[in-house]
Amino acid sequence: MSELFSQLGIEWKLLLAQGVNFIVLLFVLTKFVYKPLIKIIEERRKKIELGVKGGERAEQIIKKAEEERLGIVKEADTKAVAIISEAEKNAQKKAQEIALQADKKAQQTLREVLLLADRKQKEEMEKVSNEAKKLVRDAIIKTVELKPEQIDDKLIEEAVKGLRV
Amino acid sequence: MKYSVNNYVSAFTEVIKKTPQESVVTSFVKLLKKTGDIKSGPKIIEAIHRKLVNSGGGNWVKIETAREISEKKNKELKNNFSKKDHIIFNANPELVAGVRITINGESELDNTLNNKLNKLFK
Repeated sequence: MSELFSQLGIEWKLLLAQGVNFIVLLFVLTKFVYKPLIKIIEERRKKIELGVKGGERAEQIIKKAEEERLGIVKEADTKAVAIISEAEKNAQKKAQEIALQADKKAQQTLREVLLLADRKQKEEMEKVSNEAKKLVRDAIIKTVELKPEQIDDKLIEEAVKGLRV
Repeated sequence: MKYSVNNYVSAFTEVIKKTPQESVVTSFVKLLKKTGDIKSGPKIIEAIHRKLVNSGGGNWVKIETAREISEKKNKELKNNFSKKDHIIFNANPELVAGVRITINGESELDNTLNNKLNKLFK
């Protein structure tokens, strides 16, 4: 065996030392490089996985939020349309009421004005009529006073006849 | 007025039936002075006069004309009433023309131009 090693140029002592060195080196590398490196890689992987999951979750949330937003917008839109429609209806109703009231008021004012004008006309007519009556009455009195005896006699005669009856 | 005209009239007409006329009149005038109703003397005397005329079966006749009328017309009017009636003539220019006869302050015959004009221009 040793001859074989010597013929091959291998010194078993050196080989052993190298083997020991290798084992020591393997141990050291495993202990201080490989395991921490694996640990770091694992942590990194977990982090990435978490990030990916978070991203997916965030994407879902965003999608859901977007759907909700769209739903809300749609609902708001529907509500807004309904409100506007209702407001338009109310405005139309109100406008009709206002127009009706204005019309009624205008008619009432017109009636009042006509009534007032009629009353005023009647008053004027009555005034003119009274003045005319007064004028005629005064004219009759003045005419009678010019020569009252005849009228007096006639009226007294009538009264006497009335007494006899 | 302390007492009403009717009270004075009733009192006077009751007393005058029993007591001499002159003393009653004197006492009555004194009473009017005492009560302070002498201011309404003419009104009270007219009321007494009217009561006496009415109790004698006559009427209190007031004839109003617009102006003084002739004696003839005066008589013509008077002839329509009895001698028991008391007739007062009165001129009232407001009547314009004609005559208004009031009997006992109630019934009235208004044949004046003023009345006719009032009816005409009512």
